[in-house]
Amino acid sequence: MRESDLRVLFKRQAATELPPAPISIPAARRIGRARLLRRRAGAIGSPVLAAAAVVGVVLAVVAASPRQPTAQAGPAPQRFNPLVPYAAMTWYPYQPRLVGSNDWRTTLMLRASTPSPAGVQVDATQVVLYAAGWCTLKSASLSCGATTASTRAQMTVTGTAPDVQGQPAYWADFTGGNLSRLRALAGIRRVLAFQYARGGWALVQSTGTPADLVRVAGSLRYNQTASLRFPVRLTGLPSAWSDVLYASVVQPAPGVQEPTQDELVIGSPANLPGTPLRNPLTIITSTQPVQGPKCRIATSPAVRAGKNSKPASKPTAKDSTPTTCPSSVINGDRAYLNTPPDPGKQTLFSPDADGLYVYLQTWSPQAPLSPTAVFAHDLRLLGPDPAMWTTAPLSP
Amino acid sequence: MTDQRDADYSEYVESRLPALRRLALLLCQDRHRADDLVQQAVIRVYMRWAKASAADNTDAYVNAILVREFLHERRSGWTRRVSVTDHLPETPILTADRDGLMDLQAAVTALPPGQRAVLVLRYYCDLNIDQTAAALGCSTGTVKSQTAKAIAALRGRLGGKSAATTGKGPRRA
Repeated sequence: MRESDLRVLFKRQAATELPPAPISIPAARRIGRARLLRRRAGAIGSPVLAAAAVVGVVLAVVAASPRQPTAQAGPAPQRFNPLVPYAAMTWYPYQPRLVGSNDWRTTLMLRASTPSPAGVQVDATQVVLYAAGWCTLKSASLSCGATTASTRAQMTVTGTAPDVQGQPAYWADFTGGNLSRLRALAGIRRVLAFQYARGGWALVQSTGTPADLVRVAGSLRYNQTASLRFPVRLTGLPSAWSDVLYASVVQPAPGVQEPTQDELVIGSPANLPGTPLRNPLTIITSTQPVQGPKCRIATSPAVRAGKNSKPASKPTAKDSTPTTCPSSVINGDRAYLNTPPDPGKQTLFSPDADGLYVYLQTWSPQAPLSPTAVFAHDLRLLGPDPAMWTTAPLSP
Repeated sequence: MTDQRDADYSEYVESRLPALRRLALLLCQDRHRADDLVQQAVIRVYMRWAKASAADNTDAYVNAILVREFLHERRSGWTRRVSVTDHLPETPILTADRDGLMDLQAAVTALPPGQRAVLVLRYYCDLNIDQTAAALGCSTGTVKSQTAKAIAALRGRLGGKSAATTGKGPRRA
């Protein structure tokens, strides 16, 4: 290793295209001004001035909310890194079979569930953490998440709850937003809301009792002993696919025999949180290889040529038999290519590639690469042994 | 602070944001943490704007605020509470990295914050030992020893390999 290598590394990293800055200069002025005021009030030592400063701050805060939480030490992150496990539940009201997290850059969702054989989740507990500034508490109304996000939640505060880790907590009922319609907890309106860090809110839902919610919230811990690990590594992708926008891990609870499933959504750094995704790439893997393919192919009626010909009907999809499912062998693995009826989408799956089920999907005709090209050239499979997986699934 | 000084501050920070974000990225080796760091640093810049704007080199003064905020934040509550393992996923032996710089990047990420900050100031900002010491608020001896330790740690981790670009490796690990 030469010292000149360091210069090359730093120069290359510094040349990386950065997405629009989430830095707020007005917020910096506002917060800086408030800190200066508190510092000067303390330095002057005037009880009247200090009291006036404190009263001024308290009045401003009370006017904005029914009950102002005491800020915890340390701010909530402006954005989550989808690959980092910031928090974990350590207690559940029942014994789950599956635990997992999924992480957009503005929300981290932790979930523990017990699915029924029919695939419907009968018991579930879910904690959603929002990055700093993505929740607003005004009077008795709490709104969280971006307008179009699946984690959008609108709630009415219905009362105060027991403190959570020394912080005020509130009971709230869903009144709108997509979060209330997530399948596992659909119909459960009650939420426990509290600030897990300064500026960052957490929402707790469960099929358990209110006391269970309080205990789940109190069990949240922010130290993790292991980073998220993935069985794939992607290299050499174009700049439009240089950022991990979403990561999801579902794994069995200790002592439970269930497959692990991982999902990554790759996109552009210019894709701002809370905005529709632009040409992402989705990768799903599972440690349970699928037995036999079952792909859906698009079919459309043939168009009769001539001046009286009818326009083609919209393509429909039907399940294909294995003998007619288009496939090829890529790098030694059988892969099946689908073109779903939705225009522009392409999917590829391999039921058993190095012991993994692998699924790739592009969402737009403007996708920079096809799933076939990614599978053939840019995807490295690390096998079904989690000890061989990577915490850095996306490399330059 | 007067409206004029507020305006001066805002104009300065707006123009310097890209450079601050790049510096923060090299220090944190993580884009999201880097943006958090820059947000905290520009708050401190506001609080010290009188000194910063009167400094001989405002850019260097502000960079020093950023670096010290980085070192302070690594020791303070949030990162203690959100403790992410610094285990690296695999060694270079197991995977054929397309570019040896990735190994170097991983090795730099694994360095303690103080050593990483010294390397960034010396090899990205091109500060000499005295300037680096002034930015960090430590002695020149500390800068020298931190640099030596960091280089030794990197060489120990990477062996004799240079960060040369190689061809694409095989699909399987």
